[in-house]
Amino acid sequence: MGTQRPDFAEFYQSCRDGCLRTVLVIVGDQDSAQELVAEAFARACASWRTVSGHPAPAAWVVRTALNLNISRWRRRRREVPVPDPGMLAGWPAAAADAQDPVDPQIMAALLRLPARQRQVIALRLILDLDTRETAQVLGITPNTVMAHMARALAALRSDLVPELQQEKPS
Amino acid sequence: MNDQELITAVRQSVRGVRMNVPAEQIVSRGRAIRAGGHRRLAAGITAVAAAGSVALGLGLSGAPGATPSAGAGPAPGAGPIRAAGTAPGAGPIRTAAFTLTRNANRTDTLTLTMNQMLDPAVLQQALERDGIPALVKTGIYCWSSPAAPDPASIGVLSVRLPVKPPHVMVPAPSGPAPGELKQLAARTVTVINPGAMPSGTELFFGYSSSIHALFTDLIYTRSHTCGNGLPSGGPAGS
Repeated sequence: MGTQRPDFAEFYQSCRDGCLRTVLVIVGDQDSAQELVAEAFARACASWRTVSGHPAPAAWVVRTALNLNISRWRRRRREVPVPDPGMLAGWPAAAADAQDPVDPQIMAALLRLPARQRQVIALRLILDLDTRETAQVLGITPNTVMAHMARALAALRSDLVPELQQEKPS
Repeated sequence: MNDQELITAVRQSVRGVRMNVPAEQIVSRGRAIRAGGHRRLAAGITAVAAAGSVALGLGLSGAPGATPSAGAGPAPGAGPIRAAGTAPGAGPIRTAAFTLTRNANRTDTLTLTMNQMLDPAVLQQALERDGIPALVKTGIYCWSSPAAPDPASIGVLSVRLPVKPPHVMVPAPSGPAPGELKQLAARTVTVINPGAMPSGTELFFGYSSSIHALFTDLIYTRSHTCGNGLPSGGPAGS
């Protein structure tokens, strides 16, 4: 008797937040991320017989959401959601004021990373894909994934540590 | 702070983010997709994929080294070299911005180049000479409501993308790098089949000189709206 495939509702319940957080880290905007992930889940639902057989259905959803983002980006290039450096400067204060569920300092640091490093961080750390799966989603080699991961962590450390240390009481 | 502490901090940073779309809503949308309700959305996205490719083809037609502007006309040599009045099938129309070739099976192959920014009038004229009803505009976007059929799904448009272009799956949010655009552009080919166009429709090409993009769609000749921006709630679900 083969392994029973999960029910779609069960899959959605268990993976929706992880997929949303992953896409959020990559696209940098909560509303866009939610819209993209909702549509990607709907497509997964529509093709559930196929998607449920995928080795990593959550990766399928994230990949679909990112592809949708590309399409949208092509259609509306003037509305690229990632903030420019000027906006980033004001992000922490603005986000804190709005009681954002996202840690503003870390999100700002993530958004300052090069796109590919941010994608690797999102897939590896938020979606918990392994190096090989991350490489497959991004279409790069596992070695490149590891290199991006190392650079991203180094960049985040140098970006965040001074800020976090400043917060510590002297 | 060691790696593990950093990783934990990153994971915690978005821990409060929750997907608040109810499962019922997702399932309902999934059913609609299965039932064919996604035709328009998919159509939009396919069209966008096509348009995106075309857009990439034109994307840097004025760059690097050139500064396209809305009012800029074609450079010398940008006009078609096929003589006016030449019958369809008499040979390709070559301009600095594109080449339009009539194929034996009555389709046309549009190949964009990056040598010159597009002159909408020249492209429209070229398409008309090959019997392709088209509306080509700069800085204006036209659409029909209710929407005309998706040109890609009914065989009117077919875009041949480069084989596995780099970073096509997850490009940088700011878009492919110029080098990648060049790679895409140099090999993007659009095949137009006017025989598959429903009666009363025409192909719309909207060229934005400010973002150097060309959008395509099918519109009803006698029932369409044009504006300066893309339609809200547009085909890509945006």
